[in-house]
Amino acid sequence: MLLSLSWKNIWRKPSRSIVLIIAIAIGLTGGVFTIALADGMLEQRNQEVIDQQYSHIQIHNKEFYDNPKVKDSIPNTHELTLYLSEREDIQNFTSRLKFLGMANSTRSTQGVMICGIDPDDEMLVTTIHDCLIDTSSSYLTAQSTNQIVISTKIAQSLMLVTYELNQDDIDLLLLSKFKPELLDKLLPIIDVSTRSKNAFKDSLRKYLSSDEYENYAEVFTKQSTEYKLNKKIILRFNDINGNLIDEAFKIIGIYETNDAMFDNLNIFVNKNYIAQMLGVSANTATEIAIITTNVDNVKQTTSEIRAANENLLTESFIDLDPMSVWQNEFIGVFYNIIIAFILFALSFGIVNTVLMSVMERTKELGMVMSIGMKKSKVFLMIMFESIMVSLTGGFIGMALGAIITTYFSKHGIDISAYSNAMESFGYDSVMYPNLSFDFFINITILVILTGILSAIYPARRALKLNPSEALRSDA
Amino acid sequence: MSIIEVKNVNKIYSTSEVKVHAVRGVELNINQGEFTAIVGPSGSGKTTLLNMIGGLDDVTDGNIFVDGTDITQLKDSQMIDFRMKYIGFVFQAYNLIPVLTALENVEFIMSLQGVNKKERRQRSIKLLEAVGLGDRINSRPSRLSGGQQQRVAVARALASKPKFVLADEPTANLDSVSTNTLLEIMKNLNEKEGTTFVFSTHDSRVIEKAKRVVTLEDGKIISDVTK
Repeated sequence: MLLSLSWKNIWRKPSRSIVLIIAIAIGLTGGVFTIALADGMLEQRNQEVIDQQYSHIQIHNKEFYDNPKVKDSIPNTHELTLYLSEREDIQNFTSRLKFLGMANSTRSTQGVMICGIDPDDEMLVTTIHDCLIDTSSSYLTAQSTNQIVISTKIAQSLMLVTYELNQDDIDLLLLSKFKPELLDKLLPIIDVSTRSKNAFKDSLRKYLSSDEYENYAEVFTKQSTEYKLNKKIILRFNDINGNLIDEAFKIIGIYETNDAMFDNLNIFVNKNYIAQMLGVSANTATEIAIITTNVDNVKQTTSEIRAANENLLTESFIDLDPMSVWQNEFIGVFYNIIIAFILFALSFGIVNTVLMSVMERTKELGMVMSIGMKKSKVFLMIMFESIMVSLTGGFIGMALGAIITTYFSKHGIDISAYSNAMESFGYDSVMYPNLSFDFFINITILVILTGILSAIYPARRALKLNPSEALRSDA
Repeated sequence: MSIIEVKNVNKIYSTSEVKVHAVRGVELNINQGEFTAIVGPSGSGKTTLLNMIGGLDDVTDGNIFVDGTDITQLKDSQMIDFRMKYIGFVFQAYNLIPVLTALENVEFIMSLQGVNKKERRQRSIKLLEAVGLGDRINSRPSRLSGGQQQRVAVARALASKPKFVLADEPTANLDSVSTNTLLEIMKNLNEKEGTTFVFSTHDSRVIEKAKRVVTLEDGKIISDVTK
């Protein structure tokens, strides 16, 4: 009956309670969605890191990281791959020949990590093949010989890029809802080619206003960028015996991930072909990347593989990217702090509403205490009122937040329409908010705590009432 | 047999500036089954005396025994339990809980006593029928007249099966028709069920119906007449 009475008490002044419930609901909807958005971006980024770089588990020779070279390859690769094939918790794995080398174009030179991959196995483990940016780009095949896939960053560094706007680019920009009068300003630079990004931007600056330049320079530059597919670059590296090898490779694909550091370093060639150049057998590998059947058990799988192969360095993506784990843990605390702040702000409203409700019922509280209601029950009744009003707003807020999150987690939020520059900076222009069930449990606990804490002051005021004096009061 | 024994009770209200001697050396015994009116002009100490008998106000000195227990010695928490078990209250301003129906208002005190739902429902309906409100059990106080609300208050006061009912000016806010109806109900309960009623009043219609009239003036009993 106490719960039912508390619930009815909330609705004595419906408008006052509704205003408070709406305030709590709006606060939490905003909080939940903002956090879902941040969590989704982080989750997207973490998933990309796993998909494109680390996989779930990597195995190396313990000496590998000191100076990645072929000499520090994984011993007994054949036995190891047999062992991995037999494990039921491993979905796919691929072996790589990774080592440092130099990439030379006719205009520039850059240090690179040469990744010799088995293209078919690699596609089952990473998604680099999905990161090719040019429609005429292609990925390596098992038959590839002196073909290479490089990143946009390395292409720029090796000056294998030209910047030129042609009529097709203008038509595409028109389709992207750019104003014709803006594009007309670009007429003088149509079909004018330059190899320097800065030179192209200088020409944009010449014809656009400073605001237009600020807003659109990156988009126009990106549209004008043309990578020199089929050009050759020379890779220079040491073979197994320390001899310097120079080998020409034809660029067949250009990739781009959201990780500039990864893109600045890695190039991909066929492992079998590069093994021949290195003078090692096709089985030789310096890295084995693994995808497990269940990412939640990755720690267990890693420690089992580690125990079975003590001479090797076995690391999960958690070991390889400790920053992301730290970020996840930090962000979890951070989310709770955001919600706690929202609820702290809302608690003033809750205290005010509950206190008003207590003050308006002085006589009634005097009566219930007179007829035998214990002070502990009066305290509980007021506490329930505060918790109920908080939870009602809290649940509405969480439900709205969850509905909005669910909708956008399926459809994504395309921010490119509002911020063209975002995309050109390499951020994913479609964000997918995401939230775990645990987070909603945390919020519920925080809402209940807010209700309890907000009730303490009004409830103490009620307990201080003297029944006979309260009965004589006007309220 | 005395259900209430008031022994040389004094009550002094003290403020920083003045001291008001509201009740002076009152001696009073009330027996089981009595229908007693405590009368007197405003400020004579009627409500203060009733509040002290109900344990709502502390005595300054003296003792009050209810069913043999000296309630002036009880702690606050013991007093709350004692009130719930021994005393039914009817207030001048009805003091029903506005968000509860008539039935729920009567049930409320039984829920505090831990009576099971079925039993308290049956008893509440029976009590509301006894006060002539069998057809209004689901009405909220705002839908009832003053007289009807006070009848619900009487039913509520009886719900906990108290030893006696204290009613502080129960008819002060009622018209004459409602006053008569309420008095008839209280008198019936007194005569048929043996319920002890002690009420303060300065309403002559109520005084007429009382079997015993205790008159207070300036905090002292100046007459005690049993009809």
